[in-house]
Amino acid sequence: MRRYLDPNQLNVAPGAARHLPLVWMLLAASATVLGLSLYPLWHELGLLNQVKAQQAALTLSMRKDAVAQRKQLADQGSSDALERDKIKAQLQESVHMSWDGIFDALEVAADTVHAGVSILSLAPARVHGTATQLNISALAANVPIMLAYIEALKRDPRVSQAEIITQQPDEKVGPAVIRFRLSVTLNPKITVAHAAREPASAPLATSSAPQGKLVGTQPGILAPLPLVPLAPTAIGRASAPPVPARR
Amino acid sequence: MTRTNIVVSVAANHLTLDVMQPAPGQSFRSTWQRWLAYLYGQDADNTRIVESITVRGSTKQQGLATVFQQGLAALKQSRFGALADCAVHVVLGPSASHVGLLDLVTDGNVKLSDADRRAYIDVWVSQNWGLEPSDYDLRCIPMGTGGRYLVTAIARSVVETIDALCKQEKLHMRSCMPALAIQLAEQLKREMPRPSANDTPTPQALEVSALLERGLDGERAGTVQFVVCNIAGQLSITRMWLPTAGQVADTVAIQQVVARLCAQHRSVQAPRITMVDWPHAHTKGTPA
Repeated sequence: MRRYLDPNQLNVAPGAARHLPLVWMLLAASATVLGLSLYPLWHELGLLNQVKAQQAALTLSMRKDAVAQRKQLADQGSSDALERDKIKAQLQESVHMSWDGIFDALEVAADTVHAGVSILSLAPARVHGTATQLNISALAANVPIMLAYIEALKRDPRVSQAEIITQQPDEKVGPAVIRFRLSVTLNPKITVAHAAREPASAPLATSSAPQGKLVGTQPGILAPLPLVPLAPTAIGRASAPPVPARR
Repeated sequence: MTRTNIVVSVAANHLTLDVMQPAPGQSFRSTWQRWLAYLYGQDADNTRIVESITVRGSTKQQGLATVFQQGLAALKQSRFGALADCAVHVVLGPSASHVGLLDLVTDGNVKLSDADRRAYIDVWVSQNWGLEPSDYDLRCIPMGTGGRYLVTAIARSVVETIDALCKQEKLHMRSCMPALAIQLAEQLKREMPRPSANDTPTPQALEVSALLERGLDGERAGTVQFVVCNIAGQLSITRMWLPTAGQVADTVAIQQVVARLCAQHRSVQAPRITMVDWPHAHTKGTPA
């Protein structure tokens, strides 16, 4: 038989407490114990999250630095590239501007020495402001022809300066043959339009002096002109094969 | 923990408001006891009645609100004064409440759900007491493991009326229960008298307590509730109407009922009969 009856279980009052205060206190105590036991874990989790956040921030800053560096390099490179492009454009402009002129100048000069000089190579050296400097490697039949060639170049209005850089005999080619290098500075006053107005293919020298034959028009290296052996001390005229029209 | 309790005893023809406060001169021991009592939902110190108001009038239906308001007004005008924040404990007499025992025995393999149990109780209440379950606040607690339940029914209108009036006066309605439930709890706490070694064992000796609702003039109300216990622990609760004292003496009428109960429980021993007058006799045991 039930020996205990709690009348509160029969309480029908609307505002009656459904649980004893003891129950609430036990619940509060349990919650407190649970909270105290979980607090260290929560604290550790907070520290862990903090460390992770710091790591993420550090990684992000490192990435940003790397990106900034790359961007800086890219800017430099782009600026360098722009500079190079600018120089190239200037060079190309000046070279393009003067290619026709320099070819004509070289051929006119060669005419004067009756093809006693063969151009081995031609390459732009540097650009001085708007002036273009070319390095020309050539072979001359002899020293007077070489000197005459240089003088002829100097007299050309398209050339502002022509100077010998090096010279040395090249007996493998022939006796008294001089291999020399010239530094030719083009006249900057000759503009593209002026150069364009010049005959695209400057007529070759009317003289029947042996002329060289241009094989290619690429700047830098030209096919060597056929070297017509001449008398070492005279500017001679010799028959030469017809020169095809220059492109 | 409210220090002041107002016990409202609702009888058929009157209503009593007893204001109870803790006894003076608290010691460490009494404070500790108070805390323990508080943890268990009780207040052991509220045993001193500082004010008592009784209002005569019918507490049936609409009369309850009128009588209760009169009582609160009289209480405010008394030396007690302010009523705000006091706890109100309502105790309903036999005429305003129903208490019974329901045997809902099933075999071990059948487990009733709460809904099924509630359905059985509703049917039992309507058939046994002739009440509409939806109009009453029913409470059901198991008595042991044998499928026996203590069922109480209190009219919702009574609860709602008192609750509304309490809110008007800023009172806190903390409890509302039948007086017999308190009586039964006290009875179960008392140990049944154990037979001595020389006595012949009497397993069928009964203890019958009758809860009698008394009016202001001492007259007994017609409704009486009987609680029957035996040494083996079986209980039965019977609610019946007995002729008033003007016609038949109380003791005679009660003894007649007790005789019938003894015969019902097949007891040949002389029962121990206890007649408990209510209200007034239960103010001490009212839970906070």
